[in-house]
Amino acid sequence: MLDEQYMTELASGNESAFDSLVFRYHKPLFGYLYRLLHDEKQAEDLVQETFLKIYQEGKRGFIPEQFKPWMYKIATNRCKDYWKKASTKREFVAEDIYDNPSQVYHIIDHQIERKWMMESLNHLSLDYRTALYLRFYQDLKYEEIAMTLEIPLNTVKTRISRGLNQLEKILQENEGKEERKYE
Amino acid sequence: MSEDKELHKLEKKWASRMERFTTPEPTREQTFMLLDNIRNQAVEEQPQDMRAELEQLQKSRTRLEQMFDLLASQWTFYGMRSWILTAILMLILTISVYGNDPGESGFSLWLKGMSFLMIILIAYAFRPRNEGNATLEELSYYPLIQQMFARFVIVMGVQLILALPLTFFLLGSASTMAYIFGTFTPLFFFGSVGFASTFWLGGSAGTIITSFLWFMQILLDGQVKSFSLFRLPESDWFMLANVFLLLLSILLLWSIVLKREKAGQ
Repeated sequence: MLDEQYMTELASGNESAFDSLVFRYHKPLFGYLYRLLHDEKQAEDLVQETFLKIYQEGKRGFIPEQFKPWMYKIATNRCKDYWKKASTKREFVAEDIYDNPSQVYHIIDHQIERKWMMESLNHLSLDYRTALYLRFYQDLKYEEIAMTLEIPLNTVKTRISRGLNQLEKILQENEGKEERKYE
Repeated sequence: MSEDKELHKLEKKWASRMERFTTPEPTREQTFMLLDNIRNQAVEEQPQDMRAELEQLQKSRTRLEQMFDLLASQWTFYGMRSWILTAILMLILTISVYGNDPGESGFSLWLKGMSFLMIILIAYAFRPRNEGNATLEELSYYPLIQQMFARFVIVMGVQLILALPLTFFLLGSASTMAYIFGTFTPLFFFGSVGFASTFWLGGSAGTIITSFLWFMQILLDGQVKSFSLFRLPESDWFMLANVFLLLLSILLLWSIVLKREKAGQ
């Protein structure tokens, strides 16, 4: 069944339709928020807030045209609200995580390549990062990313292409630094 | 097109590299817990009935606050610009009707003009606007009749605020309580006719009926003086005519209240 059909079911009072949506999207949504926040607890909270909003809207009778972009839009906005409210800039979050090695190891499973990837992604601006996460990890189409981030289709393509090019540069720089360290 | 191809190639190249950044995954138990939490939180946070909540909020407010809310809602719905335009239109027409003929004959003319203006303004204030009335009826706490009455009060209020000082300005020392009464009554009468006929028969029919009444009055005023509704205090029938108008206006407004009460039973 399509996500939008589940929302229609929820609007007509079928509670189990919401369960299906949660089971379908809990993992991907958590992954998306975790990549943005790098904080397991915070990601859990925002996942809950996002699904709560979906539940309330569904009960009120709202059915989005496309569920996935709508869900990721709610999650992205919740994330932005959190950063604003907590006055915790994402750079600080990124720094915190490297100050706490156990957390890093938990995520990256001791693999240096993964650490590099994570560091490099964190050096990208939020605009590029969200576009890349939605494309590569959440499997959203360009049109869906445009709807999620409320930007034109061409801007999505530009962000992905520039984001990847920047990522390449950052990774090369990191590689160079590591090599110099062992020389 | 070539840009799209390039992007496609770039994505293909990066697809496998991106997989290196993995995240922890929630367990099935955590998903069940999440569902429980959401349901509990939804019960705590979400009011089941928005209307009931609104009514509860209204009950906690004083009568005066409720009345203010009602007037404010009409003001907000039609917008500041709309109401200011109403006031400006009233002012321009008032001054143009009065012209350069001050004194008693000017006053008589002015009174006729003002009452006609009342008809125009009632039509303007009750004009349909994007089915707004129906939307407000559904969404708002206030019934449509209350909203219509609020607009009537605003039109009358603005009219009187403009009319009273102008009475003094036009008549100067000749201004008396009788003149003020003689100003208020015809305005109130045409306002009430406009409001009641709009309520009973709809906006267009209400405007046509009230305009017809006004034109008939102007026509008769010239031909048969005894039928005139616009009387100066000097007239023998001034008080009787004005009391009659006032009673007729009250009766018209009362018919609406009676209908509401009957409908409520």
